[in-house]
Amino acid sequence: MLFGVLLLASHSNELLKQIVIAPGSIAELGVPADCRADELEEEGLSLLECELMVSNVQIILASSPEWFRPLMFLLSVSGILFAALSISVGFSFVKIKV
Amino acid sequence: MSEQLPKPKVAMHWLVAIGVIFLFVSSWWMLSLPLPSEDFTYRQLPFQMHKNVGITIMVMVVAMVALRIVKKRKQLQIKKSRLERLASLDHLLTYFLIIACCISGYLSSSFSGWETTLWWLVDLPAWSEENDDLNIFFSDIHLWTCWALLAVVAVHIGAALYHAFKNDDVIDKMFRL
Repeated sequence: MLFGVLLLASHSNELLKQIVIAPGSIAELGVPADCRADELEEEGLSLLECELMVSNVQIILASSPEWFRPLMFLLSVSGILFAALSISVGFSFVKIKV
Repeated sequence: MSEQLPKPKVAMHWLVAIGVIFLFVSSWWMLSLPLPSEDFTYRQLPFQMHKNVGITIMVMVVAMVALRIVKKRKQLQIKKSRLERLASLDHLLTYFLIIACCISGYLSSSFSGWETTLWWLVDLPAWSEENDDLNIFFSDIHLWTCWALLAVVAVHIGAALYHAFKNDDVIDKMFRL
């Protein structure tokens, strides 16, 4: 049950990450980072750190082969389903315990 | 067999648990996404999901507190042991920190100038115009209340393990839906 809870939260995050960091998105097109001074102050970041955030997305996209994203989609969706199943099986086991 | 807890309470406990873990994990990776601008919208969806889940959790926790108050009124005459009093304190602290964390996050977002539309359906009011100082102030409260919440959750899991090894009916009750 506990692992089901942890896995459900973790796999939904992975799914969200795969949706957000998509091939062909702005970072991959080579658009320079938009680092406004007020945003940097709010986040407590340096200019270099702000630029690194864009580079990080570029690295993730550049290092992922074409098949990687669909596979991660599949894995995280099945992970979510199996984690939910694990939680419901856990509850059922407790129910039948005398 | 021990007295069973109300099913909605057990269900909400586990939904809140999943939600809180989701929020902690998401807060770590979404802050490493590029800063928002007209072109860079990577943060839009994760932040919206973070707010959706956070506000939903807060509503559930308020409902759990209400259930607790109703139950407490019925059980005023029962004397609690020291350990039970500590457990009650841990629960109250958990509820308080979850609510404080959610409200400070919502206010921080409100003062940052970003709109909040709960589950893309309900527009929540923005409390004022964009205000960087208040945004940073509430953002700091959000950060520290969430770290405190993580510590209290660790104590909560520790106590759950204690009950599990003791093999008493506490764990059993929390797993009965």
